[in-house]
Amino acid sequence: MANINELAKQLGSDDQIKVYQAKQEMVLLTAAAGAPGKDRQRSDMAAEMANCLTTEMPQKDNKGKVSKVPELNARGRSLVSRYLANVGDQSEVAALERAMHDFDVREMARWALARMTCQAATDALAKAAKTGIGDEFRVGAINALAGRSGSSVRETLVACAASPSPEVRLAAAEALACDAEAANDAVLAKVAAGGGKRTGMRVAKARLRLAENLVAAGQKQAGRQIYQQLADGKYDPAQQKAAQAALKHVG
Amino acid sequence: MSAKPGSNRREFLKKSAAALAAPTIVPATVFAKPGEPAPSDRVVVGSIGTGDLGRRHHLNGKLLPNKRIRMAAVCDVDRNHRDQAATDCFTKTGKPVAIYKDFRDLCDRPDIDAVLIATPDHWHALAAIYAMEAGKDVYCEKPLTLTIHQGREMVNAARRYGTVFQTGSQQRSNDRFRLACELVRNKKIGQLQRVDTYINGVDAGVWEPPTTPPPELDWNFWLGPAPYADYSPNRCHYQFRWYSDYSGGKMTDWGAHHNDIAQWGIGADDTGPVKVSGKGMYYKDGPHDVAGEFDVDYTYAGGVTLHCHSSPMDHDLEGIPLGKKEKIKKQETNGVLFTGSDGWVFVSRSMLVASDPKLYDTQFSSDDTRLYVSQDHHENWLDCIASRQRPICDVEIGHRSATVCHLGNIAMQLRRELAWDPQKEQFVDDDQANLMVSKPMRAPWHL
Repeated sequence: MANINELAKQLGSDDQIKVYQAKQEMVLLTAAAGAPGKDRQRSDMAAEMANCLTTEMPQKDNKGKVSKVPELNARGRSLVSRYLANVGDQSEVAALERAMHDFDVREMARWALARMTCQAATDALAKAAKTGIGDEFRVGAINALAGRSGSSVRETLVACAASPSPEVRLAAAEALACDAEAANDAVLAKVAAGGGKRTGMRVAKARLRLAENLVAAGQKQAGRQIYQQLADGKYDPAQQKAAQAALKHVG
Repeated sequence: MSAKPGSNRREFLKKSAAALAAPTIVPATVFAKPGEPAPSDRVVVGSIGTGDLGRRHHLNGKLLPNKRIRMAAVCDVDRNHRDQAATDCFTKTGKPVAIYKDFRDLCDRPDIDAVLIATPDHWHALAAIYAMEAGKDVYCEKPLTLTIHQGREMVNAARRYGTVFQTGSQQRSNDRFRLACELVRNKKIGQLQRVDTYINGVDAGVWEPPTTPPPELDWNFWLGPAPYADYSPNRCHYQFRWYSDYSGGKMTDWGAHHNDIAQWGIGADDTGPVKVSGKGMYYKDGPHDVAGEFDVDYTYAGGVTLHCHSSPMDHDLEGIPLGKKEKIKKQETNGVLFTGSDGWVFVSRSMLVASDPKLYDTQFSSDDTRLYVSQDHHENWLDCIASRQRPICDVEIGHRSATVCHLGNIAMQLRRELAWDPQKEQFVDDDQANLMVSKPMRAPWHL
């Protein structure tokens, strides 16, 4: 049985070849553990990997004060997060959520949660979208929520669509377009109204997608309404043309 | 002012109505020079990704010499690449082009009709979808995608915007490949049983220490949606093909060509295999982390099998190639072999060899299946931009062919046989495999 802890340390090595070898081993091990019918193996491996993310050690600073720091360095924790996505489920979300508090690890922890489909991962991403530090990080969490279901998703995205940050608002609008909910159009319209020409263009594209999703979900009337507005209004020609074509198709 | 029906995309009716209302003196520049299209009939093109392939093959080899095209802009995240491409444009045409680092700025120009995308694979979907959303027609290099999910999103965008989208699998615009597939599709070699594609492998690569990116390269932008990695020269600019964060190795690099021909011969352009398994050899010490050598086996509904090899044929190919008289006998390293119940056909970029040379004289009847005829991949794209018909390698075809390659890579990484539903585009009963149908993107990028 492979020593996950040793492999994790190797992922944090300064030696490129050792890191590469550890990555290859992780791919092999997670593939085997994640095969259908291997739930116990998968769960055990995921737990060990999560443990690598959260294990701490005491460290004395130059004033003699002792605090707890992660045992595994940032590179190691980033890469462990990445491969944890292949085998993790809700039991490992807490460890990834904790990793998202480390600026040097959070992008990969978020990436891993984006890959995991369980509700706990969704909830963690929603929390990061709402309260994460930095627009780019929040946008990443918002992007990962697109297409996910659950009450926390819509509530989070609607809140983000009212953010003071224009990039967060736009990301939320684009993510809401992936959800076949007719009420989302009003949110998108508000985001468009609060921005300039480029914002308007991006929201128009999002509204087109929303209309498409509504029609696909059987809400033809709601979809048609959006298409009609895009076809009639002062939008860039590409969106108008696409809306006109869609109207013919929807009937 | 006259125009061929459908040949002038840009507001012809508006212009002609204005011309009729205007004084009868019309500037000479409105009219085409003899043998050349009128300026208003030219497709205005922007080139996104002007590295080696984008600049050498597409820009200088195909776009600049084409009288139906007016180059308006070039774009690359490497300043040397984009400036050199702009220099080429000025040298060849005497006209300056706009130069961009960000493909979005190029695509946002209302005067550009179409874009040609020759970026690394991990950028294809984002650039293509943005271009389509901006109303541009697209020519995108193969392999179309980095993941299966990206391909479906690209198809969705193309249909949403009515895009004329050509995938750069230019072997379909070659008579030899088409003839081979028509022989197969019309059962001239009997019932098709198996297809073998030979696409070569890749070496381990050489480690270079991470270093500061050169000043002309925006490394963060080059990485784009891919996970962060420190820069080293052998990680980008052609070599990206051998790193799984950016591409799928030889399986997608050449698999996108020959597995595409296999799909064409099998008649699977709107579907795919239902089972895949494979053995891949991954180098022990790297740096290339894609499969160096491999054998991947696919089964299609109906029983036809496809076998994709990095190694040469394990037997001699013996036969008289099309257009030759002498028999050849050698192990082939690159090409597609179709084997039927009554014969075989091997096709590559340099030859077509059949079990019976009489097959070369096949006269197809009106009852036979005839395949899309294209003599030149870029010309076909331009023809379709004018006619608004789908080109020979429409985005769906490119997506399905790339999917075959991605399925192979996934099967090799997971080291188990996988069942695939080509209609739902999901693996059957394998959650872990389904995670690999897509990849998250680094913020702020998303499809």
